[in-house]
Amino acid sequence: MDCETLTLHTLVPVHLKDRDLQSSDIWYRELHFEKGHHYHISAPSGSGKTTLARILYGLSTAYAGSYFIGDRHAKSLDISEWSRLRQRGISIVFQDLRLFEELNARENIEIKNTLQKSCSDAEIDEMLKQLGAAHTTERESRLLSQGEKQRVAIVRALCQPFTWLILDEPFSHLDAEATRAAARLIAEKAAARNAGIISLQLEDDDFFPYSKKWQL
Amino acid sequence: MKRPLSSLIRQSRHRFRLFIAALAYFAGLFILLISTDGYQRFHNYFENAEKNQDYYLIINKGVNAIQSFGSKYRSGFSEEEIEYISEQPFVLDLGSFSNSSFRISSNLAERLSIYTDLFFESVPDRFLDTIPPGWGWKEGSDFIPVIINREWLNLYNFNVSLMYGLPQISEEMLSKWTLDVIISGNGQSRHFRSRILAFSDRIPSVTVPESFLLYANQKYGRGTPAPARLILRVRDISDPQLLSFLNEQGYHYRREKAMSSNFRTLASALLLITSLTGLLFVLFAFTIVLTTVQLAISDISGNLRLLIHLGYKPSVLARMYFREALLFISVAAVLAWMAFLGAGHSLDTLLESFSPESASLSIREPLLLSIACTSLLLLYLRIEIGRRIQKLA
Repeated sequence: MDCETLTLHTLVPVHLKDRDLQSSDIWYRELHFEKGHHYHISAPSGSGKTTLARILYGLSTAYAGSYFIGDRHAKSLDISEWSRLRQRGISIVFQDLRLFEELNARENIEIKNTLQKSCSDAEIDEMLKQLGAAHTTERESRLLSQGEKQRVAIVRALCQPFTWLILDEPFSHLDAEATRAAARLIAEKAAARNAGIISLQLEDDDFFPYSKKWQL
Repeated sequence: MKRPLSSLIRQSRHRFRLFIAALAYFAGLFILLISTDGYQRFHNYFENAEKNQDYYLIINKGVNAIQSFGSKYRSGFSEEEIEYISEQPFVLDLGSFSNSSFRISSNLAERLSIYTDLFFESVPDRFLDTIPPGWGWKEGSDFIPVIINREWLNLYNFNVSLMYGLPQISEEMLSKWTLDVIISGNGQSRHFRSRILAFSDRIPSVTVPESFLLYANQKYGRGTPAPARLILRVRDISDPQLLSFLNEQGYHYRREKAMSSNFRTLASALLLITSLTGLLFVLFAFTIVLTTVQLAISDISGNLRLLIHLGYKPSVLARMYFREALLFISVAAVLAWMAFLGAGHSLDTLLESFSPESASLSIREPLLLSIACTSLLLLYLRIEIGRRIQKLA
């Protein structure tokens, strides 16, 4: 399915409808996300970043206005089409990471990788090494620190083909050095796929060569 | 890579619950199969009992006003009439009632004051509903075995004895009395001993062995008169052809009761109960299996939801989960089938000696039933698992 452009047409989440959203660059606006470009959307907590990530990833339909993936209305996609998109078109790093607590780090990554088999074991090891998390592979996720979990979640998101990568505060538990390493890895993998990044952050940053920066 | 995914979906505690559910299905299906088999056996038994139950019909000519004036005009059947009747397609067998043509008196009167003069009749043994041990008579013997109609004893016990304040008599008691019987005629007489050996529901008479009656008629009477009554064995008592023949000929008839209606009611109730029990058990088992699967899915709903969010198709997850249930249920069904075959064969051996018609294990119906039940359960499970997992998306 074509997902080279994502379009928001006067979209607003139902629970934000009553708020004053005049200053927002996103809500109630006409926006186009083009493949290969990187977008930075910043906002303080509670203003709907995760809601936007959920809408873009197809986990929420509680919004007014329209969201188009290519020329398809997102609400018209069935679960199989969403599954295909999540396997090959759109990847995400959840803000709350969402790892399987009972699986170890490697298994958490393999659960994702097995869908498209896009990375070899060696590539996965290499990515974990680049993020300084090579030692975590055999440890159960519930025993990992938040920072280690975040690294595993990032590698998991990169283990699939994608046109879009949605990052919902992906570095919130990483120190400056780890953040730089993670951003470098993500940029490299996105470039290899000519993919676009939609980075939802609390504040302004220059982790990626952004085409646009918006305030939510 | 199957392992981590499999461990997320198939957890060992669910396996144990699924095992218990499969056990319930095993028990439910086994009971259903056994009750179907029981139904089949009962059915065969009753059907066979009915099939073997030919009916007996006693016919006589009507008695009119002229015949009432004397024995000269007796309403007997001629040989031609008997032959004509026996040629009818609905008559399977025919026997004549032979009457006594000699005088019989007995001491029964002294005991009960009912009658002094007796009469005897006989029918060929194959028409008797009961042939007691010691039945039969050989020339030279001075013992005459007798079968009387059970209704007569009832008539005495429930009417005569009550009316005249006489003691009631049981069958056992009556069977123990030895009667002295004096046969006389043609200027000679002879003393016999007699005893009631059995009570008949079919023959409304005082029946003695045919050999005795022919002998005594010859020796003490005027030979054997033309029979006044005939007994017919027919397949179907309500055959319209038979009924219209009897009406056309002006014959009166009395028929033996078919299988007692109480027995039939009991039989139908038994059949109903056995099938309902089986059905109830299998429904219980269905409920247990479904509840177990529903519980297990809601237990791992978090994992399933995350897998769907990572890109797994709900249908793929449903198929994976279903495969596990399929394995357990299929094994339970096969084991139930094997247990049923074992139990069925043992039952066959047990029944062979006293009810051969119900000692045949029927395979086809139970097999179809277990396939149908298991398929239905699996189909429903497949739909239910798919529906529940889809709902998580």
